[in-house]
Amino acid sequence: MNNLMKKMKGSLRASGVSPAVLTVCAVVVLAYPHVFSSPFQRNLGILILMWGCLGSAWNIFGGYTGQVCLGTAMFFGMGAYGVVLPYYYWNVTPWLGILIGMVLAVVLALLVAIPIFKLSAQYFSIATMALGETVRIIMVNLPFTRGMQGIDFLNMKDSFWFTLQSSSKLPYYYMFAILIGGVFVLMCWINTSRLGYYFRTIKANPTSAESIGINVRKYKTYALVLCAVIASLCGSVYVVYQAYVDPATVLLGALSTRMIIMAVIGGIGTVYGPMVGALILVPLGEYIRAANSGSLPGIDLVIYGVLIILVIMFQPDGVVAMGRKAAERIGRRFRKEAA
Amino acid sequence: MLALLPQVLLEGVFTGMIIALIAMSVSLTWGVMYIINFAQGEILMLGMFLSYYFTLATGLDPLVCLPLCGVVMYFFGVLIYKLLIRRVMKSSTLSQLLVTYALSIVLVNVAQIAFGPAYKTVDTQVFQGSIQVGNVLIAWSRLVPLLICVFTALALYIVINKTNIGRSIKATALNRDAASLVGVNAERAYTVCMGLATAASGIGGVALTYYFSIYPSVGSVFMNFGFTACCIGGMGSIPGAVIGGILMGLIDSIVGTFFNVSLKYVAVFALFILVVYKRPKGLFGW
Amino acid sequence: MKKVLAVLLAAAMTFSLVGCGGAGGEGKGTEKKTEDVGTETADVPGDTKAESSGQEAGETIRVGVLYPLTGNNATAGMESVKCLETAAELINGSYDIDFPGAKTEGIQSMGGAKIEIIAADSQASAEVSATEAERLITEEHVDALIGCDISSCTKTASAVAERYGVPFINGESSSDSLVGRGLDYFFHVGPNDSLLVASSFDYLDKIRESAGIESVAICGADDDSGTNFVNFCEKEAKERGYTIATQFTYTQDAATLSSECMKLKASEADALMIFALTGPAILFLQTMQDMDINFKTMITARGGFIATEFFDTVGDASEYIMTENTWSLDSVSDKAFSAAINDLCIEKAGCGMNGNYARAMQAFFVLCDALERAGSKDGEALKDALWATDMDGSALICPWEGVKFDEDGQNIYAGGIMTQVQNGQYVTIDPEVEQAVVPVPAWKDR
Repeated sequence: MNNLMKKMKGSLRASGVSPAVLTVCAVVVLAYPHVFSSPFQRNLGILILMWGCLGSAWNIFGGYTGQVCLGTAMFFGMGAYGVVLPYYYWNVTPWLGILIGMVLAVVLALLVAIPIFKLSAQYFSIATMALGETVRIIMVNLPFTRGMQGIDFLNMKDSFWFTLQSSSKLPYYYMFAILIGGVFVLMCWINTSRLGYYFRTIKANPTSAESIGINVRKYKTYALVLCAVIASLCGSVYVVYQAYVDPATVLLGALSTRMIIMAVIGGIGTVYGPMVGALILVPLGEYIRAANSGSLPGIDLVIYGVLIILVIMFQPDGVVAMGRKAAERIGRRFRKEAA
Repeated sequence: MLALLPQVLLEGVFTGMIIALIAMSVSLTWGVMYIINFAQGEILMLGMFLSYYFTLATGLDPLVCLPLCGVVMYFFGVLIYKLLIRRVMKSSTLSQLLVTYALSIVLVNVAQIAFGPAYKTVDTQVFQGSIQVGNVLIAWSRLVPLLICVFTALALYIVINKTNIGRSIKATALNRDAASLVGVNAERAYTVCMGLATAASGIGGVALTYYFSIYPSVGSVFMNFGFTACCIGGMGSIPGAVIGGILMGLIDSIVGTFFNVSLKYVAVFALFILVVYKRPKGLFGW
Repeated sequence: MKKVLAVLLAAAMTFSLVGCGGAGGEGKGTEKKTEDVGTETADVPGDTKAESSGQEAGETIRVGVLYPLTGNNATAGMESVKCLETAAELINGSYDIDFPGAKTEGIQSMGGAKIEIIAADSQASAEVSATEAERLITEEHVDALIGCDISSCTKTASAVAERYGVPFINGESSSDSLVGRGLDYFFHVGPNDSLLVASSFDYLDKIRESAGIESVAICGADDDSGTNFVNFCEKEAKERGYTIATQFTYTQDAATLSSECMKLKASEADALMIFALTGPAILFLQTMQDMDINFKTMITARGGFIATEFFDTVGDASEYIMTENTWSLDSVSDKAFSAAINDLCIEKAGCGMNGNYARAMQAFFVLCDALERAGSKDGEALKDALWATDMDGSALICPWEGVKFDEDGQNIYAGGIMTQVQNGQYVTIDPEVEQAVVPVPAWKDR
């Protein structure tokens, strides 16, 4: 245990995270819902944290390993249905449901891995997109999922600790806060561990990775499973938060694309990237929509799209890289002045 | 039930040809420039709106605007290339993918603001109704897109394989640097390629107005199928795109009519996974 | 170097959080509310209530309307909003129409308080509907909500409204799962799918002999309404002894519906029961025409088949389609105001009324009636007034006998009327069966 803590500290340090900054971030995250307590702001907080997690989930497989997966929503959906179906039919507590969802997601990941790992670049992307769509159609048509009729399972009678249902947003906020904390540590560890090194080697060149003795298939599977687990955790928490599920809310292809947008805008293959991406894009999206809703429908999405295009064209490595470059420039100036 | 088989097969081919219309453009940009253009569906949508407003303004059949649409969309494609794609050509696959995806979001919503969200259809004047051949009924609204598809495929095939610019596109596709060394203007090849792909999509849009209603988000309906057909056929191959489309159409039609309609797209995607599992580069991919 | 980056990041984070906070909190200077709502489970409804009752009566009443304004159903959503704005204008302004509240300005019992419509985009997504409903309640401070057309959106949005103690009145969503959820603040003015399907089959029974209808084909979209529709049709058909020739749900955004139509053709059914939204409705009709698929009668469940765009696009092909409707101009011709309100809609909203818009507007007028009786826009008082609603049929724009809610919040008088497209518009063919054109002439013979 002690050893593990030490290792974690080491990887945090190696990832360039100072304890002071970490504390500040943690305090900001924990204090946010108390400072900004309107439901809209809290909902925003929850969404930022969730998309930070989802972006990171995609980042492990897509950013580090370089596999552009367009079907990550299917794991999110598995997490959601893993919680809802047992709860709805057999009154199984969502705590167990989270585990069930995770198992479902991992099984699905392993199944999906069979055909898609043979494919190269674009074929891979399209295949994952098709698989995501297939999962969605199947979930729409399976009799016990109630398809697009959806399942709403709001239950305020039983104890929160059994149902995970609360009309307050705080529990969900903190669940996501814990989740993103865990994801952050995991990302730091991946960043510095041998696993991360393998991932990056596979991204750079799968053939040479194979030739230096890395079992490409095995490590791709690891990345995919990690991605699936995080996405399914997000799905599970999200669905108890919404207390409603249908395939269109948890399995839509647009969800997968949104994860990618978070990661790319922030900066792929970095620890912070997806989280920064979520921090910028989620409030942006929500506020533009809130400001324009009803007056000129669609204009919010136009602005959103144009911004993404601009960032990618002028800052293809993401906002984090931009920040890093700016910081370097400032640093250089300081040093010059000092000299 | 079996008496319907010829009609079912025919419908499958018709459906397939409609998918092929967009698959060809996907294939062209993908095979030559290694770019998956997620805005391809929206280009199709613009083609549909163009033909709608043309018909509205002139009162002529949408077929008349085929050449006009081809030319307009060609230059639109060139514009997209010069403004957007060229700048991300050297970036990662991911950046390219997202730029085109964001472009599709922008185009859909600009279209909604500019043209309104209402469903529209055009009045076709030259070809209406259907022809009865034996117990098979051939609707003109399907036959026209099929003919346009065949015509577009042939035209593209000839341009790519028989003309100088086509040969330079092909050379650039195989190896950009080597092509540049022997004096091929890769930049020009890409521009023309993007223009051609966009023009083909636009023409596909005109053909589609014959049987599909026109609305801003129509592109997304066809885009996924276009990608899938293109993967089945193999990227960069025009005949591949057509055959991939027809295969998908046949599966759609047969499974839909004789088995489960709700799951017909699952069958289509299963075919796709099976094909790429057996042949990771598609049926005709290089 | 990395430290600098990390500090910058933290700064950026704090900055953006502060930014968010500032923008969110500025809403209408009600800081108190923003702080209170949502802090404690039990407090939520109480706080909102205390807050709204604290405001002076006599100002404007804010009504949030939540409809899909982008995406495939945007036209219907936008037209619904425009019709509701027209309805609000009817109440706010003074019109020479013999309709409750039309001649006077505003809500009389509240000193002529005006009604303001605040529209929001549900994006046809259940999730966005919930978020937007919450935003309308907590940021825009609406006093009541109307929407959301699509049943699953209504479901999630009304659950949010319940949590904040804001009345939610729905007219046009017809899913049975909407009522019976034990909600106190949800009122369902329109009829349910089960009722509408049953009355379509009642009508089918009436023409069964004369038209020779023995088998039915049932098809619906794979969304909430479509699945419901197919299930209820199956049940009714079995009970009444019709043969089900084929029964399926189809994918909403299908590129073609030819295999669906081939299935219909192969079924050789006498009657077709169909639910489709606008896009698929147009495509179905055109494909059926192209493939020469004929039914003795085709009964639709509103949806796209009553949309304005549907008639604009399919033209003559819409002739003889039957729809279990909730409004048609001739069904309410006995009321003097019907034509006048329809004309007002055409003038102000740019579209005539149909079964969907009429139900949405009816929901709005039920709200106005309750406001008039409550004399307050306070959530609790408004809710009580809504529960006590007992409107007479003569004051309704829909052809119902009245509005009165049962213990589930369902209007017990809501019902459907069978209509058929004749000469380009829906006319009532119920109970006058002889006015119906059945069996419908084949496509070739038209």
